[in-house]
Amino acid sequence: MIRFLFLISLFITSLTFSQEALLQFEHANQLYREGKYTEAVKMYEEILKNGFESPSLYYNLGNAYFKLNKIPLSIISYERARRLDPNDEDIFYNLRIANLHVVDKIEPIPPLFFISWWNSFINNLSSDGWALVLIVSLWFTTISTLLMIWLKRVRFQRLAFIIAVLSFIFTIIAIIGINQRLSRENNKNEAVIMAQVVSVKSAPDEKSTDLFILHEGVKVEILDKVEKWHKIKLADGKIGWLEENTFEII
Amino acid sequence: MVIFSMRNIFTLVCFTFCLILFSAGADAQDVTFTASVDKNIIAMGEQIEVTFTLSGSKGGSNFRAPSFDDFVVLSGPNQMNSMQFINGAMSVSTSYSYVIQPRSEGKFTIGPASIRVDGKQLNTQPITIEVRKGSSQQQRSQRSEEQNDLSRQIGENIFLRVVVDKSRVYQGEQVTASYKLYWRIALASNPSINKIPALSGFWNEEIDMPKQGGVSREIIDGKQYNVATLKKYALFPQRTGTLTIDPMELDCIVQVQTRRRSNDIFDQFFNDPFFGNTTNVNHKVRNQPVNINVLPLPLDDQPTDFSGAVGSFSVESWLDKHQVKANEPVVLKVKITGKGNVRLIEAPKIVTSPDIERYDPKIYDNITTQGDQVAGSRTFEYLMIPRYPGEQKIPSFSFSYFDLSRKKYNIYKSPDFVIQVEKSDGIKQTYATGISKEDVKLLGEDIRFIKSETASLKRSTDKFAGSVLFFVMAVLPLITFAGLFVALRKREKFYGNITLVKNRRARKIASRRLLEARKFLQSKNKEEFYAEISRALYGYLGDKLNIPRSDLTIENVCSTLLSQGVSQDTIDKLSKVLESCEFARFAPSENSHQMELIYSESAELISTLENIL
Repeated sequence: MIRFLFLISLFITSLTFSQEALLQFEHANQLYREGKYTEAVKMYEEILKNGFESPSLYYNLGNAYFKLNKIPLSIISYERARRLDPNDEDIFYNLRIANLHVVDKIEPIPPLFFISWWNSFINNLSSDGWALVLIVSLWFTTISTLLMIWLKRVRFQRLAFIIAVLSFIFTIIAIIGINQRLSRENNKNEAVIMAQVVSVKSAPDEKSTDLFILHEGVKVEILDKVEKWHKIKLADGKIGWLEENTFEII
Repeated sequence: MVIFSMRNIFTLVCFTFCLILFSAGADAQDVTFTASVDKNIIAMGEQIEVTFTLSGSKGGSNFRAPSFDDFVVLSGPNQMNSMQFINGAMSVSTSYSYVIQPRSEGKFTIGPASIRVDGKQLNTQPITIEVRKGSSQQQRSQRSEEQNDLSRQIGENIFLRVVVDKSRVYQGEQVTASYKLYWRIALASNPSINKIPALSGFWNEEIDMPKQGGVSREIIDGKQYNVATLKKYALFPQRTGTLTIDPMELDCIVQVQTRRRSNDIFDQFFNDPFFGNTTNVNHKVRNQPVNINVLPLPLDDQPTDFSGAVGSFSVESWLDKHQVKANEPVVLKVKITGKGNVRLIEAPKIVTSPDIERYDPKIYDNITTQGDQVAGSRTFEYLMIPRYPGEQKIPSFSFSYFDLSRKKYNIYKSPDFVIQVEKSDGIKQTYATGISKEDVKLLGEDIRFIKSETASLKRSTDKFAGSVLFFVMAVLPLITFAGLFVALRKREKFYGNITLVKNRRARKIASRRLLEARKFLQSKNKEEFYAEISRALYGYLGDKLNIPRSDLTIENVCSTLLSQGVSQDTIDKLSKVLESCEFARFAPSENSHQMELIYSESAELISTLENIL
């Protein structure tokens, strides 16, 4: 009971802290509506600097950058928004439009259909959402298992058993969901090219041959790191090395 | 004999008389046109003088010589007019003479020549000439006398030489070759070039000569010659090994003194050169070929970008602008200045990123040949169009050449060029190719409007999943489960877990007994069958209802079942089966059909009760 009270108080304090951020967010939105994109960007960035985030915040920041024609920055913001809320249609749409302004056209290798189904199912909830599902289903499993033992009537036992099995399946799905979402949310393996033009090298060496050229706004996956060189992989599977000051991690 | 001589005398007198008559009376009609040769059997290489003589007339017009197809005309037509007085009569003749030389052996015919005199056309008879391989002693001596005469006069007195400034050069190094004509006899006209040297194996550049080439004097072997440089070439060997500078051939018309083999006083008199009794002879002059030894360039330290430039050069490279907007052209200029095979310099290879559209370089040459040395500059202009904004780099390129003075390769390395490309003024920059139709439609679309949803705004560190709170909450049900499970177990023990265990095992035991009973049913062991059935039912009910074995009676069971909510119908069925079991055990006659019925009924009863209890 004491523990529970402590947790509630923790929630309340965090809510009061975010009160100021909330006001800032609304103010920034107002600036955006008035077309003062530079000021809006400044305000959104400040909220971020204060340690707050939300898919909407990143999405709005991305919009403001887009309006300022800073495409790579808007792509980074949209990608960050999408990481928090992968199934949001607006984020997806605006990211797609921003990507049209990227010079390089990279065709991603499409994933297998059941993998994309599974991903979109998992993406329905954030890691926190799946955490709640896990806790609820754990409780269900526990209670129904106990009831199964407790009850003498076969009929009730059977019902309890079914509930226990179902909630146990949910528990397992929730564990997978939490893992997948957390690894995605904490993923620091993705980056967006910030330099206007950069040539990707075949080895982590200035003198090595140029493999191909990338322009600002391209999303890459980071595979490896040697000193200041990063091994990157494009969505179409191309691999090469880039210097670290040419991109920004999402 | 006498008669004979008398007749002869008569004939002679008559003839003379007639001749006098004719020549006096009809000199106008006595016009002849004849062709003659000095010999008609000659050896190859000998010369023949063909003379067409028109006598008896002051001169004809429209003289047409035959075509000397099988001969080479060395000289002619040489026109000569003569007047002769014989016995007081004057004879006039005009002769046209040619010096010809046969081209090959065999019999040839010199066709008729024609001339018009007083409206009449006169033709000569054709003459047959036989050309033999060898020559008769007489002809030879005659010819060689003449030839000797010519060669003595021409011989060493005119020759052509090619003078090179060096005979051992590197591949690509310049050699200057001058074709010089030496002569110390009279030339009738300026020599004309018959055959221009091919100069294969060389890249050649003709060096301009002053228009009025000065004739200088040189003394060779104690003889003074006039010297004129006819042509001068700057040669750049393209191959290694021994290369030959081909001879040049000149046609010179030299004046030689002709000599008559007659003892005519007039001839002797006119033979004097003072009177210009000379003939123009066409004389071919060709020089001896000269070999040039071309050394290969050293291979061991040859730079990879070397493309054959030899000499001494300096390189400059620059961009016309360093800051442009996208899609505007930039020109990179590379100027190579120096001495050597400037015209053979290839454009340095320049590598740019695919973002820069690059065109083949335009080449501008400014080359002079001052002081026999080819020098000048070659400028390459690379037009480039950066397509996308950003810092575009043109990586350093190199140009290498073989420095002759140091006998080493020199490498020029350009600096890296950086072009700052700004966004173009155009509203839309160019997009990458491969954009789909659908995407093109989207290009015109605006982004969707911002969201004002605030519920999800929270501290990025406030993540529930993975937090302590989350783990506590996740572990809590497990703890609860464990705690309650243990508590339940304890309670079970307190009440006596035997009941519980019995209850749970009742069904199993009953079905095992029923299985036994079935075996007895098949073996028709009636007594054992009924005993087993009643044991199964009593055992099951005792375990389920928790009634001690001593209290197990039909009445007792029925009243307990009724209190547990079992329907009266089921209870009736049960008591009936139990009763019939008791009864049948001791009854002697019973058919197997009855046994079957009892078995299925009791199995049914157990499963019905299992669902209720």
